Amino acid sequence: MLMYIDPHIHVTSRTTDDYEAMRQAGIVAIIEPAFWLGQPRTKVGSFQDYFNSLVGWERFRASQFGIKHYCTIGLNSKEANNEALAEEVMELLPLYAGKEGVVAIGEIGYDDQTAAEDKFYRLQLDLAKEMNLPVMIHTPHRDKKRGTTKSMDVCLEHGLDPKMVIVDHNNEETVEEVLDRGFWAAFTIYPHTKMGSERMVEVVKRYGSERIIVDSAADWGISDPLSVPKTANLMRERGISDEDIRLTCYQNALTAYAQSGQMHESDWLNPTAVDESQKLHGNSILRGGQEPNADRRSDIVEN
Amino acid sequence: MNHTADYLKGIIENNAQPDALNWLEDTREKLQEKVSALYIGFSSSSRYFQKTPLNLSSAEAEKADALCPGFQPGGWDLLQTVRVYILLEYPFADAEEQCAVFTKLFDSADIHEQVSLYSSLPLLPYQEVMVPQAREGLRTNITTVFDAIALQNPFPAQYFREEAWNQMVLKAVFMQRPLYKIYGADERTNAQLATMLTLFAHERWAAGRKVMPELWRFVGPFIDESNFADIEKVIAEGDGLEVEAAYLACETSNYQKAVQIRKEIDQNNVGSADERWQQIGEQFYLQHS
Repeated sequence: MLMYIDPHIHVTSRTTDDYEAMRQAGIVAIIEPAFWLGQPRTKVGSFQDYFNSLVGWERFRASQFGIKHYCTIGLNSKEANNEALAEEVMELLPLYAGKEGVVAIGEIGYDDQTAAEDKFYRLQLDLAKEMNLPVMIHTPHRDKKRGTTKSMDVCLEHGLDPKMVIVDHNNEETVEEVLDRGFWAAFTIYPHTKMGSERMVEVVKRYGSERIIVDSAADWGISDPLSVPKTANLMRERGISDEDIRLTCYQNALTAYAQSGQMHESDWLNPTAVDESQKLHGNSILRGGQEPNADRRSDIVEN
Repeated sequence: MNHTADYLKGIIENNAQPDALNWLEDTREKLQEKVSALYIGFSSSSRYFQKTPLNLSSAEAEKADALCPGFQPGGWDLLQTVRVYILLEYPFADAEEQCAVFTKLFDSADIHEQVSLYSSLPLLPYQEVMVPQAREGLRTNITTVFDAIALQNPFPAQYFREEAWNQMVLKAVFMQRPLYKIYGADERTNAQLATMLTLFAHERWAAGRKVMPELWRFVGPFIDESNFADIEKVIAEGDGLEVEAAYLACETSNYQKAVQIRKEIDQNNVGSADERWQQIGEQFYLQHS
C-alpha cells in the first residue's frame, strides 16, 4: 500500500466522506494549518476555540478514519489586519505552539502586504525561532512573486535557517528562487487559483524532487482533498520515478515537519495504545458497529 | 495527599530517563513558587515523556487501591502519570484556587491533556467542587476523554447524584464502552436507571438492532412484572453472551419468576458475579472492535 501525506489541508471544512476517500487513497497523515474560516473572526475567544478544535476534536475526528492529524498554529495574514484582535491572538499563541502534534508556526505571511501583516509576521517568526519550530509560509495570491521574495528576505533578516521554513503555494514563477535560497518549496494543487496537477508534473520533471512538496490546501472552497494521491498517479503515468513520487508526496513533508520533534513515521506505522483506543470503538462518528469505508452509492442508508 | 504524589513519582522513576527526571524535579521545584510553572510543565511534559503504557506490577496496582479505593492507574500511560503528578505537586491554597487553575488548564487542553485532567479528579485535594467539570467532560464525544471519567475512576460513584450517574451509564451504553470498568456500578444501581436502560433496549429492538449484554447487569436487581418479559425475550432470542447476561442478571433479583429461572439453570459457572460480568464485557468488546 502506497502511503501519502497531505501536509496542508483544512479538514475542519471537509466531510467524513472526504476522510474515507482520503484513507482509501492511501493518505496516512495530514497537517492542518491554522487559517481564516472564510470570514473574519471578531473575538479572541473564537480563535481559542478554533485552536482547541485543531488539537482536540478535529484530531479525534481524523483518527476515526485511521488518519494521523497534526496542525500548525499561527495568526493568518488576513486577520492580522485587525490589530487589536491580533494583539490578543499573539498572547494565545505560546499556549498552543508547544502542544503535542503542533509541527510548525503557520500558515503565516502576507495577503495585502500591509504594515500590520508585516508586524505580526515578524513577531511570529521570532516565536518560531524561540520555540525551535518550523515555519509554514502562505505566499500571497496577488503580487505573488514579490510577496514570496519578501517573505524569504524577512525570514533571513530574523535569523531563521531556510531548512526550517516551508514556502507554500509556489508556482512556476517563484519555485526557482525558493529552491536556490535553500527553502522548502511546497505546491498546492487547487483548481483554478493555484497549481494544476499537470503543471506539477512538469515542475518535478524540470526541478526534480529535492525539497519539493505537494499538498492540496483543500478547504471550504471548490478544492480536492485527493489532490496529493491524484497528482502522484499522474506523475506515475507520465514517467516520473517512484522515488521522486515518494519524496514529493510523502517523505519531504515528513522530513521538513519532523524537525518540530512532533511528527514521527512510527505515529502511523506503530501507533501507541492511546492513539489506537481512539479508533473505531463506539464513538460518535461511526455509530455502534458501523464500518468506515462502507459503500455509500446505494440508496439504502445503513443503520 | 502527597502519598499519592510519591507513589506516582516512584512509578515515573521506574519508567523514565535521567534527563527527563531532572526536568521533572526542576518543574516540581518551580511550581512551588508560581502557578505559571504548573501551566508550562503540564503542557510541555509531552516533550520529555512518551505515551507508553505503564505495565504496573500487581503489587503496585494494589498499592494504588490502598491509597485511594478505586484508583486504577493500570490503564494509564507514562505522560498521563507525569501530568497528574505535576498537578498533585502544586500547592493549591483552597478549593477556589484549584477550580480557577483547572478552568484555565481545561480552556486550552488538547485531548491527552483532557484525559490527564479528568483522571486526576479522585486524587485532588478538593474533589466535590469538580463535579460540574466532570459532568461537562461527559458531554464529549471523544472516546478517550469520556473513558477517563467514566471508566476505572472512582470519582463518579463517590460524588455524582443519581441523575448524573444515570446519564453517565446510559451514555456509556450508547457509546458501547466496556461497562464492567465502571467503578461502583453495582452499588449505584437504581430503579430509575433500570427503567431508562429497559426503554433504551426497546428502542434498539424496534430499530432492528441489538443491545449490549452488559446492560442487563443494571436491570437485574429491579426485575419485576413490568420488565420480566424483556429478560425472557433475551433468553429466548439472544446469542450466547446475551443469554448468559440475562441469567446473570436474574441472580441479583428477588422477583419470583426470575428466582425460578435461576433455580432451573445449572450452577456450574465458576467465578464471582463480578468476574463473570467482566468476561461477558471483554468478549463482547472483542467481538465489536
